[in-house]
Amino acid sequence: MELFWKAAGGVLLAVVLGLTLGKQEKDLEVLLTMAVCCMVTMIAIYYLEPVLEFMWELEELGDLQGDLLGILMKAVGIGLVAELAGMICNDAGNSSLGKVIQMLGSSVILFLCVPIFSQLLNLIREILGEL
Amino acid sequence: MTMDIDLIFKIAAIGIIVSILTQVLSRSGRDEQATMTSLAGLVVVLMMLAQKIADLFDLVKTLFEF
Repeated sequence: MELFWKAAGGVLLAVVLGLTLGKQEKDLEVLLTMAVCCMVTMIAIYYLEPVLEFMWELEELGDLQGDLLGILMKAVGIGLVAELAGMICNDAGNSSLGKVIQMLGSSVILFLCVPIFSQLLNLIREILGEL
Repeated sequence: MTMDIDLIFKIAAIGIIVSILTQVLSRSGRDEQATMTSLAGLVVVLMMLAQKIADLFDLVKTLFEF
């Protein structure tokens, strides 16, 4: 839990320093924001690691077929990175780039989900065929 | 896993130094050099940040099993 307090302090510090920098060097303020976002996201992922391991255990316990959880994990990772990049772009005042990277993230997640949709479609076909 | 507070201070310090240098150079009529100083500061911070971004992407790739 020590890391959480350090991260919260670091973020508050970065906000104040960013306000000071933003008056003269707007571009460096964006880089400062980016650095702090990277660090805090890494800490968040560090805390998420046991949760994800638990989910893998649950997958083994539930004996899920295929790579369903793997696809879900990849979707979460892509969503996390795309959302972070989008928010930084929005903060930098370039909301079109932010929207584009979020759209790219959504597209890649949809692309990853195609095998799941195919499986679902096959299942529906099987059920309808049996009727 | 540690919170690298030093990096925040480094970026802020570079920003303040670059800001002061830019002001001094532009007031003394050397606008081109002021722009180059500002650009140099940006590149230095970007080089420091590139490693962090690469670390983040590697961590996400490892944890979410890409």
